[in-house]
Amino acid sequence: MSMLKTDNIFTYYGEVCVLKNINLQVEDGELVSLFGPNGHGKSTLLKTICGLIKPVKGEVIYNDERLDKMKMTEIVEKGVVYVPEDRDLFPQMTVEENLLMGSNPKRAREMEIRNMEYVFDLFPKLKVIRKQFASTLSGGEARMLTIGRGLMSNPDFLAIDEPSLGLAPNLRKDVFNSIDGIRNKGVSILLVEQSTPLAAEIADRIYLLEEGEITFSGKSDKALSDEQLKKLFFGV
Amino acid sequence: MAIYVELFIAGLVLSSIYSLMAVGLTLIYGVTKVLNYAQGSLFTLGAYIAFLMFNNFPYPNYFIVVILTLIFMAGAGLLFEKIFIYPVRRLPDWNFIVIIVTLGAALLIDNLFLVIFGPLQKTLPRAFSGSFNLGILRITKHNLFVIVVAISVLLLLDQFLSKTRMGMNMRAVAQSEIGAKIVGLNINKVYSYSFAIAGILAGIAGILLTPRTLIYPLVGWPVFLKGLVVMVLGGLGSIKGTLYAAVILGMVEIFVSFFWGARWAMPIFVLILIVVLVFKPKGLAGTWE
Repeated sequence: MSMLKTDNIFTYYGEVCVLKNINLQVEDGELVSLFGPNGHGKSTLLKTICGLIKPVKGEVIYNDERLDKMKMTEIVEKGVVYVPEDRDLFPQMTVEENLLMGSNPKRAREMEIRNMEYVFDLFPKLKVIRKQFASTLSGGEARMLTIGRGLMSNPDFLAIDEPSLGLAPNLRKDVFNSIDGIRNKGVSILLVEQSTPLAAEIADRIYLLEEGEITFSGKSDKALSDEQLKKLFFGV
Repeated sequence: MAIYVELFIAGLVLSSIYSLMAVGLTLIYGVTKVLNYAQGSLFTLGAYIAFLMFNNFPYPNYFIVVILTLIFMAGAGLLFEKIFIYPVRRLPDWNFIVIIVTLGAALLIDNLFLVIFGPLQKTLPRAFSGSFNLGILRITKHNLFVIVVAISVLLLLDQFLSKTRMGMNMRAVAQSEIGAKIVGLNINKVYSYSFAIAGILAGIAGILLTPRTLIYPLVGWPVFLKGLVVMVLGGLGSIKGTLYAAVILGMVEIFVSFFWGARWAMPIFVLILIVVLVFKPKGLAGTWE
């Protein structure tokens, strides 16, 4: 029995069908990476799973419950948390206030202090800049803060959208190490990346999404050893 | 010299009223992106409700009446959002539609006042009668009360927005609605609360100002319009900017009225507004975003 499963999902933007018949699953404690070219529906899939967009057809099932029938508030309360790529932070709030906003769900309230310590442990930089406004952060700091805010919601399942977007190569490694650390804490993770081998190295399984359809799924070591797949995924 | 001090205080009184109106407007605009044309009607409603209580309670106490009125106004704000805003928000392009809806709501409410209370002016008592005399200087106690209340209310609001969970939720929704959804905020609840607070602010302004202007069905409109100018001048959604703008326009109105006549106040307002917007298109303090 998988923790999260999408069942024949179809999602539209207006008339345009962005996701066609998506079947994907994430087991308890697993880290799954979803690859694919820009604009082929990866983010849309994450948003559909987390409830920001509702699918036209199909089901999103999380621990035997239909997420696609729930409101965003309820979904977050179940422990399914979305980490956006495009800095949907609160710009005129401090880093600390942004993190506190993350502990809005009831399930995260009593864990607030512990989670905050955990986030500062994972990203010591955030502790240093905790009194700064989010609008003044660099790309890397903002990425850490969005992930940190997600962790403040005390997630069981984290959907992370392009964690390495716009980051310098050395920072990428840090971010992926942190994500690996989060998984080791028992959080299941589905992450989306365009073509970063690092995201495959830390993953248990990978999917490839092209033109709104899943064209490959399998163990990540298979993709990393197979030359043809390597070319397909990472363009090398 | 004394005359200038008296004018200055009169200016502060007006600034207080305008800031209460404009902060209500700007709070709603910042959080929900609704330009609420019915804010003036809420102002009038507060005055009428207080009037009803003063005239129907056997021994009306000013402060008890005020507190009951403000509780009523919070409910009225919630109800206003549920009736006029919430159903519209499901529509596509609701940001445009809602402006007309609030205007329609204002006309509806004002005409209900006319039906229920009639066109005759009603009077509301002042908090304190009499005045302080300092040499040749004379300050009425009510005016002083208005200034003190406005400053306290705004300080309280500032604390609410920066310290309490609901206040932070409001700022969060104002700054990024998607971000607010991601952390699982109940957006509907935040919208309702911001209208409740705007209702209270309008009610306070109504109770404070109408002892001078008397109450009639359209008494809220001039105050709303000036609140609107203050809000735009201050920068949409910025509370700090709104305060600067309220003080500037309150002073300008009093001094212009004194030296040139009251009919010049609004033209000068518009002139100031244009000049400021030419140099600072986002108003004195930009936006929350």
